[in-house]
Amino acid sequence: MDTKLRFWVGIACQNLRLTHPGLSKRQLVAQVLRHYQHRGHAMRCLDISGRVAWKASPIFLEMLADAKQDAQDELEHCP
Amino acid sequence: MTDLAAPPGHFWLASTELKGPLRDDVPYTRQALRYDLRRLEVAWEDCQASRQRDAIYGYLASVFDLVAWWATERRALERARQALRLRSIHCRDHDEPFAAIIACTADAGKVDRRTRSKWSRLLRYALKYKPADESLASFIKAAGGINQAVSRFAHQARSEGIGKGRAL
Repeated sequence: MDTKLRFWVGIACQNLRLTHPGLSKRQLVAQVLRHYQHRGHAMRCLDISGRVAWKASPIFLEMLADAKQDAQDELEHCP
Repeated sequence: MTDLAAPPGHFWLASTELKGPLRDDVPYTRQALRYDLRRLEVAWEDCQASRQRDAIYGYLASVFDLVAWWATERRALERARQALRLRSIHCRDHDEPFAAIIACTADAGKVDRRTRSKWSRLLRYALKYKPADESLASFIKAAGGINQAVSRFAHQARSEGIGKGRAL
């Protein structure tokens, strides 16, 4: 899994663990990835070892970049 | 640094969104396939909008990346046919995944059957011989370009007795 996707999946799993303490880490990650895939935020590819891996989709990367820019713009306009 | 205490809502996953049997695998759904096909269409549009000579490598790499991971799961042909059905495309390429996905995502008016066949042969050659840690663009350039790579494949296929298409 690439760094950016791993970061957000990790946060989502932490959040879900609070309300679903009985789920294993594998189940939590799978649930998060299923929803990210459904939203078009996560996609599969082959890593440099030729194994199937997950990464953030271009749509998700664009949303992250927009959110970062919005946050920076807000900071600049803060008194 | 993004404020983790109050990130944008669409990055979060609410616990109420969890439903159905809680499995530990992630099926590849029709929705995922639609997103993948749309991504390749965007890659095609980008390469058409670019004036760079090797812009086509970006599109071909996207097609290759998609079919290559399908092939790892031995589901390339099945998913390529599903893609053709999703796009309501009836063509002779239903038995060759790379050609099928090119038919689904590139402008049919600009990519004729002969070009599609050439590109699919190129990508099959790359699937067989490209190292996993090398980009498609550098692999093709090292082979002398698209036409040279296709010629090499044809030569190697003849010497190894490989058929026209291969089961992926």
